[in-house]
Amino acid sequence: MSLFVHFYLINSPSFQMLRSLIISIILLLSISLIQSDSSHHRPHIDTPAFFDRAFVMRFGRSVERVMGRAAISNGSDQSTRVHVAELKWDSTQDILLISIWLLLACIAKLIFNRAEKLTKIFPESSLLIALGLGIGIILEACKVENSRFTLNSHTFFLFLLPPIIFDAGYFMPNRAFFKNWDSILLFSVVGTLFNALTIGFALYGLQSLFSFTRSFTTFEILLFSSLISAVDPVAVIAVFEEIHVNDFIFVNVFGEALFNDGVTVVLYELFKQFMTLDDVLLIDYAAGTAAFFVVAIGGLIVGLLAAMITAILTKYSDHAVILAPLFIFLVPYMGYLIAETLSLSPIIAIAVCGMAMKQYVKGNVSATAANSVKYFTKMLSSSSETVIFMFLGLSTVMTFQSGWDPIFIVATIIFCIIFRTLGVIIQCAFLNRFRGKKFSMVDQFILCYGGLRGAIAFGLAHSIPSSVEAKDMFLAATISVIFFTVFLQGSTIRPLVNLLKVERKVNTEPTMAETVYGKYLDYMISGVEDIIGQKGHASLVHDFERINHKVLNPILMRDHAKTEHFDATKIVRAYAKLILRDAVESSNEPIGRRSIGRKNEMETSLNFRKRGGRCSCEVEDGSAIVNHDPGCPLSEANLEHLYKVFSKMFDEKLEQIKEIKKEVESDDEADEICDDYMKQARRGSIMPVADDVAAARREARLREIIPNTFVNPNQSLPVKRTSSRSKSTVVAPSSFGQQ
Amino acid sequence: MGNSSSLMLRDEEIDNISKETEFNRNQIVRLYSRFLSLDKKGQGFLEREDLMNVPELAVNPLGDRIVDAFFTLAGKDDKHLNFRQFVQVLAYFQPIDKTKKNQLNDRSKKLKFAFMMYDLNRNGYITREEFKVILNSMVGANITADQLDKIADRTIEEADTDQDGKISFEEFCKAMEKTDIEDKMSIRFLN
Repeated sequence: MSLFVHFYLINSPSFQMLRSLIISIILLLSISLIQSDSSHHRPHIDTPAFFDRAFVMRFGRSVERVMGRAAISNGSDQSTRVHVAELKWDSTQDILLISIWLLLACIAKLIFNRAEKLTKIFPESSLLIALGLGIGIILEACKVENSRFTLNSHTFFLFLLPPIIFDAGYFMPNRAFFKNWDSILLFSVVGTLFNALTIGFALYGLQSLFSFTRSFTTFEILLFSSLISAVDPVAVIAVFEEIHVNDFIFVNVFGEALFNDGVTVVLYELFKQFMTLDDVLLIDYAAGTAAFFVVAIGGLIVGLLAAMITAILTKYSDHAVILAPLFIFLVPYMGYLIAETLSLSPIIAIAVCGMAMKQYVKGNVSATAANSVKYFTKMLSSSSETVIFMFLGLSTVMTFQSGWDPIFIVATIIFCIIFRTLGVIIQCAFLNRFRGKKFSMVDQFILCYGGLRGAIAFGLAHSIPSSVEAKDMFLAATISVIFFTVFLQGSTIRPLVNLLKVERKVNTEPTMAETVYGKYLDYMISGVEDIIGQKGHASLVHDFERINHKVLNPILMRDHAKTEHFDATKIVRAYAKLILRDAVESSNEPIGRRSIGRKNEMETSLNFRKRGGRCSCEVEDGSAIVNHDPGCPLSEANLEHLYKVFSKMFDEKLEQIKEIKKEVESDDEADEICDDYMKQARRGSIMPVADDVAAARREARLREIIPNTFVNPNQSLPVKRTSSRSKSTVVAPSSFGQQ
Repeated sequence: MGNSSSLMLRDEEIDNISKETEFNRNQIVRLYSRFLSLDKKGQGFLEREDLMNVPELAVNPLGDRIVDAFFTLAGKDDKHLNFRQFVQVLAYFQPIDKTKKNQLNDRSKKLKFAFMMYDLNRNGYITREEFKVILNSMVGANITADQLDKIADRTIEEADTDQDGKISFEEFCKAMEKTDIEDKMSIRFLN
């Protein structure tokens, strides 16, 4: 099947997309159509799967029939003879079907990616929901028992959600996150509470005006409002990843979505318990408040512990390199499960774990391992996301048959929008009084508009106890809100972002100057904050970096370079990255124009790896890119050889030229710089002063090595790049960047 | 300490400083109490050592430079920093309020402060050597001298648009064009 679809894919530009889509649906349809009698009672393996069991069995049956083996069913033991081939459907059916679903979902995604016109208008998530909806309707038409193919909340929370949240935490821009911790915390705690209570009471008030098709009690509607008020991380990530807004807005919306889980879980469980109580006492409210802290902070602690364990395990995995990525996935997942077991917030646990362990883990594992972790995480999360949205659509078909109450649904959607907007405006007004970086009107609008609801709400709505009379109405309303936000808001947010000229994310790598100066400014502000005796963001970051460097790094990291107070790896890493990019770029150039100087620098950056240990990822990463670059006219071996032969030579030469220059400079007492710091630095390690004899000898040797190189010791800057062999010239370093 | 110290600051003095720097009354009173606690000898002015005694500053790689910048801004060769000068320097770090026109806190003034800290010999340029000194204090023992050189070269090359081997203030501003200076170089002064 996949081959078939693939064939079409290869030949199809976007207009053929529809055809292949139809074909895949027809295929699915035919599978379910082959057998329409549904009177099987075959025992099946009890593995958790969210697939329609009846459907599974039917499929199984049909295959058996096609294979002409009509009788291997229950108990009848005809297989006493030797079999040439055997159908082991029983043992593989569930897993095989999961694979087929996954394949189908991913193929659909492939097709969407090709159909640019479509994805320009609709976000991928909404297309997947639509696809699921279509398949659902077809299955429904074939009279497949619809209650069986809905998204099972158990599967959703235990298998599909963790990869997405882990991915989110692991690739979270930590710096932007901590810079906005105050607003994120406010939005996710106060904002969610505010929304849950206002939406709940507004709907309850409305019940006295209109009579909805189902009636509900206070706690029942609060149960519903607490699940509908939470912004969904999966939906947010799916939409915001496509529109690339700046880090500030992204981190605020997304941070809220991640961390409101603590509040949602508590409120949901609380109201669920309140429903069963006859009278709710004050102590129950107090317990609820306490539960919030336990759930959120407990999740945080579990996450941090998991991060520490992962870091330590990877630290000692240097002799079993292959195991390291396993730890990186296994331990956070266990953290998630443990948090779930202890009824803490699993989402907070795994997100925090990903965020906290990142910097240590990246330093501990080899570059290839880090790369495979990166790809594997992205792959897992993107396939989970695909499956979630598809099943969201699939599940809708069943839900929409009952509990459809237009007034309730419209009221819910309107209240969601009103109170979201109100909440954001009030909170931003409050925050703007105390914050350096203010929320502009546009920011606030995107915050309101980005409040997408998603599969978590659906999962929670599904697990509302069936004793609640209005459950199907709540479910239908939840689905409607999700559809409304994902389709309408999700597809209009991109044109709106364009219209409002929201600052986009800058994807260019910061230049060296920006990195160095940026760090410099941080230290400066931190220092001034210390002088005025006021702990601000900069000085807190500085304090953390110091503690991190002194205490945490030695425990959690391998090859930890011991330095005194601070951590400069950021600058060093940025440098290694830039050099690498240059190297990759230059390897794309034709050989004739390729500058050897870059290779030279590249080699040096490789030396960083040996010394620093921490920059290994980027460096090896990039060299891998260089070696496998298809655009490179040289073969791998040649290129590598070239590096080896020349870089060593040039490094050596460069060293000598530089030393000669330094000696000349140090003789020059009339140097314009006469500050204390300079003298100190001169005495220090950065400019070793060699004696004249050695200098002369070195110079002679240098001329021996490269006889026709022009060495100019009086040049104000060191000679940086020289080209090879026959035509040797001195190139001013300033032209380097413009090559 | 907080309340009693405010008594020592006369009202008109506060008003003057407030007019000059756009700090509000509470901020000035708060800064004054900090000033007094820094002024261990009770001389009414601060000396270099007074600032260097702040424990966090001792572990800040740029601690020296920051203190120097405070004294340089106060006056050419002033060894004493009185409260007024102290507050004037701090005014560089006020968040930018777009409704008011403050001379001291706009973007280029903020950058000027940063530039001045780099420019060790105050000749209006950051030379390669000056840059290396600062870079060395920031990255320190983590890397070798050779690597330090290379990073310095690279950084200067990037910023040095007229290719004279040193960085002027204009070049410095240009290099920082994409950085959100308002955000990065502002401190929320407590009331």
